[in-house]
Amino acid sequence: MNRAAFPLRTRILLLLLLGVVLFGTINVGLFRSLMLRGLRASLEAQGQALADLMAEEGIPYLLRRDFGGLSALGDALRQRHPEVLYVVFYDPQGAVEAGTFSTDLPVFLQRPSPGGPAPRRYRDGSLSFLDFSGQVLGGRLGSVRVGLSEAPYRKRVALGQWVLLSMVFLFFIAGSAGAAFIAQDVHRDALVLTQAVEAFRLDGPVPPLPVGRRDEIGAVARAVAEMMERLRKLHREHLGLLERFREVDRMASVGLVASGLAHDINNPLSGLLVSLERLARDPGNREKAQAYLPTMMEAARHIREVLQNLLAYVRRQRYAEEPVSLAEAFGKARLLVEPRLQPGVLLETDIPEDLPPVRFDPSCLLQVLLNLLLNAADAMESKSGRITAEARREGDRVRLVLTDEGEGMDEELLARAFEPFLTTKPPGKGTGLGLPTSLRMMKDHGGDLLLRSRPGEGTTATLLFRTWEA
Amino acid sequence: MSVRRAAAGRVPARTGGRAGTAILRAGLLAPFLLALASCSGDAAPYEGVSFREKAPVPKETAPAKAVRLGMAPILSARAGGEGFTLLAEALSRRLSVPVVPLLGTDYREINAMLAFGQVEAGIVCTGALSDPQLTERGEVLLVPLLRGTGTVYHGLIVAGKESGLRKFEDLRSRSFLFTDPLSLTGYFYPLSLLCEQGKRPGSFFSSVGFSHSHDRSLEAVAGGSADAAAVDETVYELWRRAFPDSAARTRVLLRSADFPSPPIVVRKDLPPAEREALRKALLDLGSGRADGRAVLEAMGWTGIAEADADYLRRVEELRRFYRNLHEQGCLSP
Repeated sequence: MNRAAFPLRTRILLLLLLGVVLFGTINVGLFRSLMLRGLRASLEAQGQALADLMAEEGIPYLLRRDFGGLSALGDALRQRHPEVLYVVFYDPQGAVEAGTFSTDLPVFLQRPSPGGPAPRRYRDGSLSFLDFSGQVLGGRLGSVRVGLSEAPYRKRVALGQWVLLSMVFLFFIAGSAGAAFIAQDVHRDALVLTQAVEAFRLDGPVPPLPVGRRDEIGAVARAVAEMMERLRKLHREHLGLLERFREVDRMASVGLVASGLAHDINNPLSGLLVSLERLARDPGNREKAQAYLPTMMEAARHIREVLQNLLAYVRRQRYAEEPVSLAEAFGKARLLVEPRLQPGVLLETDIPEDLPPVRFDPSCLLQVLLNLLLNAADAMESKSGRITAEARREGDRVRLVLTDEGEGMDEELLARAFEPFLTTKPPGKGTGLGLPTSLRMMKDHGGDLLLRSRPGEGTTATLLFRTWEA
Repeated sequence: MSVRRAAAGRVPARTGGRAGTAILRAGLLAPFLLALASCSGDAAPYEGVSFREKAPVPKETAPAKAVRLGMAPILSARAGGEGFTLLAEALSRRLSVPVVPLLGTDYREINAMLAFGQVEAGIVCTGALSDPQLTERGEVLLVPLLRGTGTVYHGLIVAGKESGLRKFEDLRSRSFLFTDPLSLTGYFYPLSLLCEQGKRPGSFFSSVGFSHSHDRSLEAVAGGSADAAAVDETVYELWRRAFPDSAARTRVLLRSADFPSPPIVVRKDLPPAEREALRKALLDLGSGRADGRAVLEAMGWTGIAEADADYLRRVEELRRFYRNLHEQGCLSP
């Protein structure tokens, strides 16, 4: 099974996690920053407004020296605004006039605001607060300090932040569920697609594909289905072409062996005719007839055997795998090829009779052996030497090694040896279809054909057959 | 199969590389964005203080010598506070002693403060001179000169513009706001108008009240919480310049005859040297110095003058006028 190294589901979830964490953090940070700024600006505006209000409202009390009234004014403000921590009035010389404290006053409030950027920021433990200052009648009647706790607004920021974080978390949960659903949906059909591609056979039906989907997966599935259909069609055309190649090759080899066969048939036929003529001239000579008849019958049987082989070879038929004796098949091929061997070329065979039968179509096997033997014979057309054929059993296989001592091939030619229509033979002697057809037939029967060659040293063809039992 | 294996081996590697690059980019971008997000605005540092670290409030140490200047709330603290404090500061500079401004809650409070020695001097309404407390324990020191009229001023009957009121008689069964029971223009003047017609405020108006400051009465009329009010013309002019939009919602129904303007009074028992120093200091406000000019501008004065015989005569006439009103029962509700 072809597995994804970085599955889509994992990627989507990782990217979602990254996106949510990254942008969630940024959003929460930005929200907090903006909310802090906004609320602080609001708090500062409120605090300054309260300080100004106290400065305004304090005028009559200060003008009347009504310090009780001033204290009551500050207390009333604190009651109305619980976030107000203190209100303290000072006279123009900076002495405390009145405030929201009884007798003792925090040291930092003993004097008016020291000035500087307003408001001043103070912290007492966990309590942070802002100190605002207001001038009563431009300072001529004194000043006032109002302290405003930041706790309520910090609580609001924290609440907002918590709500936003919860939203981010919920978004992550919902997003993860959605992403997992989409990823699973895509993953499932991607798996179906992968399995279909892997299970696809050129001679089988197109496997089920998610072609009904309306998304990109569906588009890919439809494209794959169309591609499979095209491959099957090409395969059928290819098979037809191979069949035609095989026929062409068969007929070509028939032509090639015909001259040899003619010679092979002509000799016994001449002997037969001479014997018949002699017997015809002396029909009553019984002794002569008895002397000629065995020779005549042998010659006729030889001719019949040659022609039967040829007919069996030429007969067009589909593959019909049978248990075939390699020694017997080689013998027939040898019979057809031997007449073409040049004088001085010796064909030696070492194919044990007791080898297990191989799984092959007899006609095809003869064609393969004939092609290779003819190639060997042609390779040794201009030199003497040996052609050897050795067969051995190797497990559930039978290996036949056919070696000639002919011209051999260089690397470039060897690499292209199985290309159709590639031949080094002169016109009329070769079609260039022998080797590719032989290879195709070997593979169709579960076997293989390998070539090894060196220029000037000859060629070795190794054929691997499946045994009938395998 | 070999081709597919090769492709299968290549595609995830390429995809993984792309995802890795994206994650790397995001990783590089993250610190920048996080830094941006972390700008919380906590720019200014917090200064550590303690509410537990306390100390007694220092006792107020009264200045060794101070002049306490009272003022009747002819103008409210909001409207008149600035001028009053400017006056106190300017006098303080001239007297070289602190001058403490004290604003009364009503006109009678300043009279009482003068009578009981709680202030050395006071700015009071002319009507306050009808109060025996003041006349027995205090006396007129100087008279501020009002813009355009000198030592004379007028009372006005002011109504809301939208009320449809055109003349004083239209105020019947309407709400009316007096200023203070010791206010000449804000109380005695409208009472005299009613008295001439044999009417009493309790029966003529639907409701009456006291605002204790002329500017508050004007705000009430402009705001519609009172149909009409009796006010000081000088205050009305100041208020009209300060709040033209509000003033546009009011209409003057009636203007009084000439009244002697509000005086500056002092305690009769004030040592002569102090009295003289105060008198000189007050007169110096009209000498042209910048702080003096600012005081006069804020108070609506053009200068400060001696209370001449004519002024005192008119004050005396006014006292008789009070007495008549009183005798005629016009001061009763």
